[in-house]
Formats: sequence, structure tokens, C-alpha cells
Amino acid sequence: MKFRFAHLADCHVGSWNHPLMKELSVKAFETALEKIVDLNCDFVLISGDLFDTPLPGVDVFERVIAALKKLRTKDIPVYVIAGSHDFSASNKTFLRILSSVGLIRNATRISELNEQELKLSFVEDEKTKVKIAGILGKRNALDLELYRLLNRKELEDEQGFKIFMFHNAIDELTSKQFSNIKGIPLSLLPKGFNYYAGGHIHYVFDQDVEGYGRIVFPGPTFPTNFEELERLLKGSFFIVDVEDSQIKTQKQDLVMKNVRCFKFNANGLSGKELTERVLTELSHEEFFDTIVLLRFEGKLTSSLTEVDFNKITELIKGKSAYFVMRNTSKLVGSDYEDVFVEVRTPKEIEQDVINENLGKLYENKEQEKEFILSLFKILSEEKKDGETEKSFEQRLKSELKTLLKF
Amino acid sequence: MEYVGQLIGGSFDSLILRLKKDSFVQLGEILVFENDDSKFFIQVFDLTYSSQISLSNLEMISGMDLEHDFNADFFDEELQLYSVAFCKNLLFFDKKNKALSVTKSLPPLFSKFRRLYSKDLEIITKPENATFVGFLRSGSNEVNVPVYIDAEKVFRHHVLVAATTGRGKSNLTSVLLWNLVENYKIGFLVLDPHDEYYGRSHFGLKDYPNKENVVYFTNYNVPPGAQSLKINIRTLKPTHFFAVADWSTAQKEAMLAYQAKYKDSWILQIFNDEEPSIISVQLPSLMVLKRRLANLLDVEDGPNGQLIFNGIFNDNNNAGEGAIDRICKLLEQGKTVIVDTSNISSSQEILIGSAIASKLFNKYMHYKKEGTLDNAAQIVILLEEAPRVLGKDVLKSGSNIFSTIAREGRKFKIGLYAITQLPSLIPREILANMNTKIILGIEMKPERQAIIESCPNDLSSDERSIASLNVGEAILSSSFFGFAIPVKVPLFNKENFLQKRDSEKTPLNKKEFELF
Repeated sequence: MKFRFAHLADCHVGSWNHPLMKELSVKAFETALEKIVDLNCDFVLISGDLFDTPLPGVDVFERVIAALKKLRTKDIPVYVIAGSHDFSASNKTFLRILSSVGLIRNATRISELNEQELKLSFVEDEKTKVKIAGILGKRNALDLELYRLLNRKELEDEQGFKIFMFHNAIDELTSKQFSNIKGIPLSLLPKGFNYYAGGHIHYVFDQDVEGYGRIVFPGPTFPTNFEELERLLKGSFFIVDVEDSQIKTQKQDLVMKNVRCFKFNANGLSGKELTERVLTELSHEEFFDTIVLLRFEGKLTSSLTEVDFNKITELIKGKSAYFVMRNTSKLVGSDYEDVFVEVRTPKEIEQDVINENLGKLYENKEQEKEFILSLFKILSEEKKDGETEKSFEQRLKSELKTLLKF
Repeated sequence: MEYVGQLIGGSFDSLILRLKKDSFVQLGEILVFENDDSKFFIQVFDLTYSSQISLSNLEMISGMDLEHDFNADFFDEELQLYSVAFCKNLLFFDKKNKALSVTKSLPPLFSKFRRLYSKDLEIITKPENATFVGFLRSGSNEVNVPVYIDAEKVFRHHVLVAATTGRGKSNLTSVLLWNLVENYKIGFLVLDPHDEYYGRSHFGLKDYPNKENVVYFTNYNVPPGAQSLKINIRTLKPTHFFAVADWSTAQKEAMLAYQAKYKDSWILQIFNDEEPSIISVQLPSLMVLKRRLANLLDVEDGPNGQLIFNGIFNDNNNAGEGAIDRICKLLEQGKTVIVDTSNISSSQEILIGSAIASKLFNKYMHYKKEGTLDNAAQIVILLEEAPRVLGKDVLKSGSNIFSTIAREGRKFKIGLYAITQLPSLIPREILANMNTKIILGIEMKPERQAIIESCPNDLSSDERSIASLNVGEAILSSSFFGFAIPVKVPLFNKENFLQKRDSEKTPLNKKEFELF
């Protein structure tokens, strides 16, 4: 038996606030699907977080539909599991619509779920007879309970070429830089599958793991923030060729734009000197259609306001750069000399505040944390295009009712 | 009121009670005298016979009975033959002020004592952060008064559990661990050489309802939910090896020199070097190091010159951050981490323990420096057969991380829970640093002496009581208690410990997961 499939994860289509970058997140997805058609894949796997939110904007949704339609016309089925971003406890996610019109197929088939057991059934790909099962991803590894209840034996005993789709970090396989992301132990995955199609962690991992099989995290189709752009430079997905159960993987890069990263150390320099140094260094560079990332670090001898960021940005834009981003979280001005500066992202600060206050609502802190994060998520929802005030209110109320168990 | 004895004399440390006939007062039993203003609680530490008839006359009567079949009947036998109990003062309760304190005065002479009732101690309230240990024991009788400890405080100052095999060490430890699982202020590391606490095939911590708080690491047949125990050798440092075996100064220096030069790949470099790549290291030292490290880490040379890792150690840079880092993180989150060390050597177990303990110790020192130690969970490290790392012989060749923790850990919120059959092998200064001792039955006199001499409460008169402890009976001696508390530890089984929590559980809803 010989077949080929594509494995994508963490597309986060519609991520980024700036329209130029948002466009790239959509474009990357479209490009990936075009390549998949060109490479004659038999089917496609998307291991969670196809969208950045359960209800992305209509413009984004429309383009995803158009891209998926191209696959349908070629009879290339797309198997999807929900991820931590596009999952919605109240079932209000655009994935439903895509599924109802037959553009995607849900790989999470729950045949039985009660306090003692979760039974999953396989979805069989008609053409290749590959058997696919999967568990959706929930924020903060709250799908852990599902894995604990999972009847592994039934899945393990099934014969044939099997793929397991999941949207979790795996504790034993996650490198140190992602160690803050809550994962599940490897032992919770059912054994004996040929291919484990992972998602959730935005890194590329491809290894045969003893006692399991090939475990792959293909990385996001397009980086979703400054740090990821700096680290990955591009998006990626995997093409997997199978011949007589032998697996051969091939990483496909999705280069949407050139990405150039510059790091400047400000120690011992005044704001003016730093500006001059940056301008001098960048004046020799070419930035045509390039994403330029500027990271500033160190302690200035003057105030931070002395750094002329506008002038630097103008210089880069003048060289026809596609987009310029700067990160100054580790840059300190002399006026902050006596202030303790802790470099953390807003998300980390939010996490710390939550952690510090845990234990006030529930005895079970994990449960409390999940409750707070879910509440944050619901309350930070914005009204979607075309949504009336009333329907927006109703949607929020419905989500809140589910969360608060009214 | 059923009196069992009357105070007839003695001194503060040794009150003499004439016992009522057939009262069957036991060693260790707590007796109470009560009047309108107060209650005195005393504890029996010795029992003897006494009689109004002289010993020579008793011998004569016995002789007539044995030699001439003379069945002696004593006139007013209950007044002629009786027992006497020797007791020590325990507690004093001032009824007016409702205050319980250590006794500082004598009960009135001829005061009549009765047995202890659970209502006598209703005054004792459950402390905050209470962790259940067992029920108060009076002799071998269980009194329905639960005994709690303030675990954060107690474990910060180390706990020593001393007992002969089969007296209930594991049962006691299981009870404590179970009751601490949801104490998020305590991260408990259990190095488990007998793989008994998780309970693969019997009731154990795996059955705890909130499963996320118990994390099990094993290298053998990893059950679902458990984590595989694979240690990246790059996380190991020379100092971790110092507690494991006796190294010569030259070997120690060679390891430190390699680490200074090659950082986290120092072990790999030692294996790769045919000749020392560091001038200060001699070839014989390198060769011995290679051999000893290879034995310890279960490493051998492969056919193509590559290293083959046979056991729990590896050098896989892509395979995540390694068990040591993950274990430390879980402990900091206040979880109970059980490391199954039943399939590895004792040396490897100590090596893992040292690596985890050192990492946490350094981290917590840093927290203290930056003033954030109060937010960190209290760490407790369980050491079975503690003399392996805290024994006099081991410490002769220098201190290790465990002895450092024993001496300084309390400053950095790291405590030891050391279990041993042989407390006499642990140096006095370390025993003295263990501010709480839980004593189960100890058969050997030198071991009883060692523990009695180092107990925070005066147990000098309790040697007999310790020798007579039955399975599950314990004496809890701590600098945080006014007196040594006799405890009966309940049997750790499903019936006693697995409470039904179904009402607390949110039922899973299939619809919630069937999105599309």
C-alpha cells in the first residue's frame, strides 16, 4: 500500500492584529493547501487550531472556505481536531459550519463518554483505508481527564495503518523553552499507532519514539508572534509518504516573506548614540518586501525617550520593507535606574496574578485556574462582523451559562 | 466514675499509682484525674506487682502451692495483691481558663485516676493546615481523637521515622502522603525503592481522586498517566555524584575540572577522551573515572565508538527537558512526585535524589536572596534507608546535599522525611536537627537509645513503651508539641481512605466534546 498525506497544525488563520501580518497568516494556509494539491496528497490532517479563535472574522472564514473547496474538488479529505484556540465549550465554532458543508471531517469521534470511560471510534479514509482517531485540545491541558478515561485497548487492538491526532504538549518531548506549557505524559497516548499527528506546541519535532511510533509536531503554518518569527522565521507543515507501512517524512517550509532579525545592545550608549548606531548599521541593508524584527536590549545611559524609534522605522520602511516590528521589553532607560524591571510578557504577568490568587474560589486550584482562564477568554471576545448586539450578547450569555453551569 | 488507680506517692517524673484490681492498665496508657477546677493527664511508663505480704512470705505461699498442692486462698485478696503503675505527668487543663498546658505541678496525693475519654480532649481544636496522622492512643486503645500536624511547619524542620521492619513505616508514610496530596503548599518527592506508594497492583496514591496532583515516574512498563523516567546526563553535575560513592580527591577534582571546561557535556567528554584533555588530570584518574561512571550510568561503548545507554540515562537533546527538571517543577507546584527506583541500583537512586535535591536547594537559595521564598512550596524529600546518605560512614568522606539540607534546609523551605531502621548510624548532630521523630516499634536497644537521646520531648522513661509498640502504634515526638503523642495510625486501605467524591465531580458531557 502506498499513499501520501499532509500534516498541518496550528494554522491560527486570522491571527495577528495588523492587517498586513493577518494577511500572511491566511496566505500561508492557502499556500499550504495549494502545495498539498500540487503534491497529490491523498488526505490532509489538521491537528488543532485551524483558526485563532472559534469565530474568526467573515473575511478570513471566506478565504478558508475557498481554499478548502479546492481540496474538495480534488477529492482530498481534510481530517481536523479542534484545538485550544478554536474549541468552544458552547459549541459555537466555525469548525461546525465547515464540517456541516463537508469541507472538513471531525477526527474526534466519541462513541461513549461517561464517568468511567471514553470510547473513541476511528474515521476510516475511504481511499487509503487509513484509520484516524483523535482527541481535541482544550486550553491548559484540560483534556487530561479525557485521556485518563480513554479506552486505549480498543484503539490499540485495531488493525491497519493508524493515525492518532492530538493537540497537546507531551511532557517528555517538550523542550525547556516550552516547559511552561502544560502538557500530558507520553503514557496517556494510546500505543501502537503508526503516526502520531501532534499540534499545539509551535515547534518542529519529528522522531520515532520507543514503544509508540512516529511522533510529529509540524510547527505552525505561520508564526503567531514576534518571538516565533524570530525563532522559526517561517511556517511549516509535513508531507508524509507511506509505503508498506514505512514512513518517510518531509518538512515543507512556508516562506511568506523574508524575515530579518537584528539585535542591538544598548549598554553604555545614550538614546541618541543607539539611534545613530542602528541607523548606520541598517543603512547598508536591503529590506525589499521583508519583515524586519528589531530587538533592543540593555541599559541606556539616557532616557528611553531619546531613542528615535520613528526615524529607525522610517528608514526601514523607506527601503520597501513589508513590515517592521520592534521588541524593547529588555531595554531600560537611565530614568528607570532604581526601578526593578522584570521582563515578562503581559500573558506571563496575567498568569502570575492568577497563580498568586488561586485558592480563593475552589479548593482544586487547577479547576479554578481553568475557570478563570475560560472566563477571561469569554469576556475578551469581541463582536464579530455582521453580528448584532443582541446575538453577540446571546452568544456571550450562552458561553457564560455553560461555564458557570447555570 | 470508673477509677483505675489512686496516686499514692512518687516524684514529678515518676508518680506511683496503686491500681485497682483487674483494671488492666497498659504501658503507655493515659490516665486522668479531674476535679472542679482542673484535669491532670498522666501516662504510664512502667508497671510492677506489689503486695501487703512480704516477698519472703509470698515465696513461702508459692512454695506450698507448687510443692504440696496447697491451694492458697487469700483473705481480702484485692487488698493483698495488686499492681502499681509508674507514670509521668503529661498535660494540665485549667477548666476556668479553658487552657491546656504542660503540667508544672503535682496532682493531689490520693487523687483517683480514670481512663481517658475522647471528650477530655474536645478542647483541642484542629490546627490550620492540619494533616491527619492517626488517632490518639492510650496504651493500645484507640481514643476517638484525631491527631493532626501542621505539615508545613513540621516538614520544614525534618521528620525522622524510626522503626523495625514490619512495624508500619510504609503504612504511616502512605497515610501522610495521601493526606498531603492536596496541600499545594507542600511538594513531596518520594524516592520509592520498593515501588509501593503509587500502588500499581494494590491500593495506593494512584487511586487518589485528584490524579493531577500525584505524578509517577518510572522506567518500567509505564502505566497510562505516568511519566517515563529518563535522565539526560547533561543535567548531572559532579557534586551529584559525591553523595553516591566514595571518590578520591583526585577523582573529584578531575570531575570538577571537566565540568568547568566542558560544561554540561563533561561526562560525554570523559567517555570520549582516550587521554586527559585537561592538564591537571592524570591518565589513571581518567581511566578510573571512565570505568566508575560507566558502571554507575549503565553506559557501554557501541561497535562504532558511540555510547550505548542501557538504563535510565540518555543523551537525547531532542527528547524534551529531562525528568530532573520536570520533577523539580512539579514539586515547586506543590505536587506529590513518586519516583519508582525499584528497577535501578541504589547508587542511581541516590544520584537522582542528589540531582533533584541540589537543583531545588540552589533554586530555593536564589528565591531567598530575591525575597520570594514565601511564595514557594515547601519541599519534602523522602529518603528510605536514610543512613545510605546520612550515615556516619558516608559523611566521613565529606558532606553531601542531604546532610546540607539536614543542617540548613529549614532556612530554604526544604525538609527531609528520613526513614530508617537504624537511627544509631546517623550522626547525633543530624538526628538533633530532625525536630520531629515518629517512632514505631524498635526491637534493638541501641537503636531505641539513639532515638530517645535525640528526641525533642523527654522519652527517657519510655523505653519499655517503645519496645512494646504494636504494628501501627507510634509515638510522635516533636519540638512543636508539649509532649510525645501516642498515636494509632489507621490501616491504609480503600475502605478507610477513598471517600466518594462523586458529588464534587462535574459530570462529563459528551455534547461538550462533539463540536462538529
